Amino acid sequence: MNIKKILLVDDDFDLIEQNKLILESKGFEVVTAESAEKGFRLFEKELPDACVVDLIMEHHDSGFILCYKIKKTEHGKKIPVIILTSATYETGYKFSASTDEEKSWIKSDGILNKPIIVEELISKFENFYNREH
Amino acid sequence: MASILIIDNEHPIRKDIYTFLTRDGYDIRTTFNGAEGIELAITNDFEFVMIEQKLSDYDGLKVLQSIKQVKPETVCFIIASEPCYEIAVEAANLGACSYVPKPLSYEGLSFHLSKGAKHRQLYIEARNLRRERYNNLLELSREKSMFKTVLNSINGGVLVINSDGALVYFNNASLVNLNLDNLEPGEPILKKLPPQIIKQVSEYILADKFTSKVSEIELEIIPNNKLYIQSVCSHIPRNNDNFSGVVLVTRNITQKREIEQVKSQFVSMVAHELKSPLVAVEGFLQILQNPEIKLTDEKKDEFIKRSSERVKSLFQLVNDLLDISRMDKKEKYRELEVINFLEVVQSTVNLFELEFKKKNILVKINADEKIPMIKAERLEISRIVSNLFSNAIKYNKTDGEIIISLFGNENYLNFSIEDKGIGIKDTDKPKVFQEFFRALNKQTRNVSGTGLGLTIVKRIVESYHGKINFESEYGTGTKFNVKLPIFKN
Repeated sequence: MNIKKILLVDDDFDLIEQNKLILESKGFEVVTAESAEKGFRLFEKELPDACVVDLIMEHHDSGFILCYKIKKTEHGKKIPVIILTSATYETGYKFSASTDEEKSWIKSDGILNKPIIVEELISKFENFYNREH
Repeated sequence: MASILIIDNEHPIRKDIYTFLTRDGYDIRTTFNGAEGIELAITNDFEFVMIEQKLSDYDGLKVLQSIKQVKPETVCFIIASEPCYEIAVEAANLGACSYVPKPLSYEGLSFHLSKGAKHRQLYIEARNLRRERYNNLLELSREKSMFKTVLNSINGGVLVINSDGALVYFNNASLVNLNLDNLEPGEPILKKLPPQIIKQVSEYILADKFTSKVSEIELEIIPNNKLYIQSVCSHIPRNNDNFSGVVLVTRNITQKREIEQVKSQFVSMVAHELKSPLVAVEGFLQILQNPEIKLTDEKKDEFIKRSSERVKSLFQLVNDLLDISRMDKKEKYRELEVINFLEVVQSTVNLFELEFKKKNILVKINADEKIPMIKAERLEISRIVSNLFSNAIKYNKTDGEIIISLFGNENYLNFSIEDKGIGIKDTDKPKVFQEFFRALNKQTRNVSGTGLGLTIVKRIVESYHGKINFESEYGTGTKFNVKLPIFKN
């Protein structure tokens, strides 16, 4: 695995700052955006090695749509894109990427709960790269 | 006392017979012409009428016919001086009880009268029976049509199936609830029903004996939440342990389900909104404790401050949620008082003085000299004003302006708050009153809020049968207009 640059997209400024600090403490370079739209522009510009995207931003599915857009690009196919959310099953949002059908339309390479657990995130990245290469 | 009318050209009976009959309890009247005879027979209730076959003005049979048409229960005799077989037959056909040849004897008359009495009794009994039967049928058909009308007008579908699986009865609502075009009584119904109901009904039809257990299922009939029903199935008992069939009651629960979905969606949103600040605070705490992350003292202070901001916002959110949940019940327990709206406005402006002075905002109040009073709960009215006013401060520019105006007309008090702030984008406008909606852009980044303030305002205004709307141009400002019914003595 050779991840240097991570793109963080979240509309919560506190969380952006926290996650940036945590990831930087693990030696990553972190670029951030506070909306899906800006996130995609930054993705195209920075071509990061991994993306972490918040699910609910301007809209309830902003994260899914951003994921989909990233995964449609050439570069996006080569890197892990993880969705981050506090909207989990316990809070009544019933989704997971467990069935094949869900996997086919949720383009992310994993869904993680907030708050971020760095080890979990890194292992998701590793899984992706081990599978791809 | 039995009464006899005798219609004859002459006195047909001898004085002694007359005396005997009177002694026997008969009341006798006589007339000499047919026209008067008909009139008397129709307007009175004679048990017996004796008609001479050949009257001076009428044919006796004609008189017989006229009387029988109106009084079929009257027993009529034709008396004849010149008896004739054909006429006797015709008289019998027209309803005469007997054909009596002259001269009349006491014995002969007694015989005919007692025969006539029996005749009359039988006729009356038959007529009563006919009436009774008619009434019974009428009642039955009334009951049947009432049953039908009731079953067809109830909102629930009723479908009766016998133990062979044949349709016995169905009402209109059952066709609608099961989305079926038509059904025929007697047809095998099971194959026309949705699979879940077939399963539900089959269990009952195939049962060995009667059960009082009721099975209840909910199922989708037309996809995409278009038609959702509840189907309740139970046995129709017969004798002791047996059943004669199954009754299926269906109910349209589409609306109820929609409400449930909205509710559960609301709960999901609430849970998410509650979790977000908690996640942020927990994140700050973890970072502050993380030995791998080196922070300056200023940064640490900032993180603690930001955590406490998030906790505050969480409190605010919980308070707003409690307000919303109370609102429905509150309408019933309101403590209404007559309120001067201007006073509420002034005290709210005073309350927020520190905050609008911080941004150097100028607040103007334009009010009519005489403001009509309203009747409401003071707390709710001040909530309307403070939510709108604090928004006008939060989303205003530094050195901005807030214009509050108040005027009354015939039925309404009009209240508006206008700010010269950032305005609302056209795409965001439809969502302004939506729960948890907060416009997100550069200008709103540092503005805290729960996304429930305007939802609460709208709910309060509408609960008083008032109206709220807004005008806004992005970059220029926003004006909220509230109309509340005025209080009239």
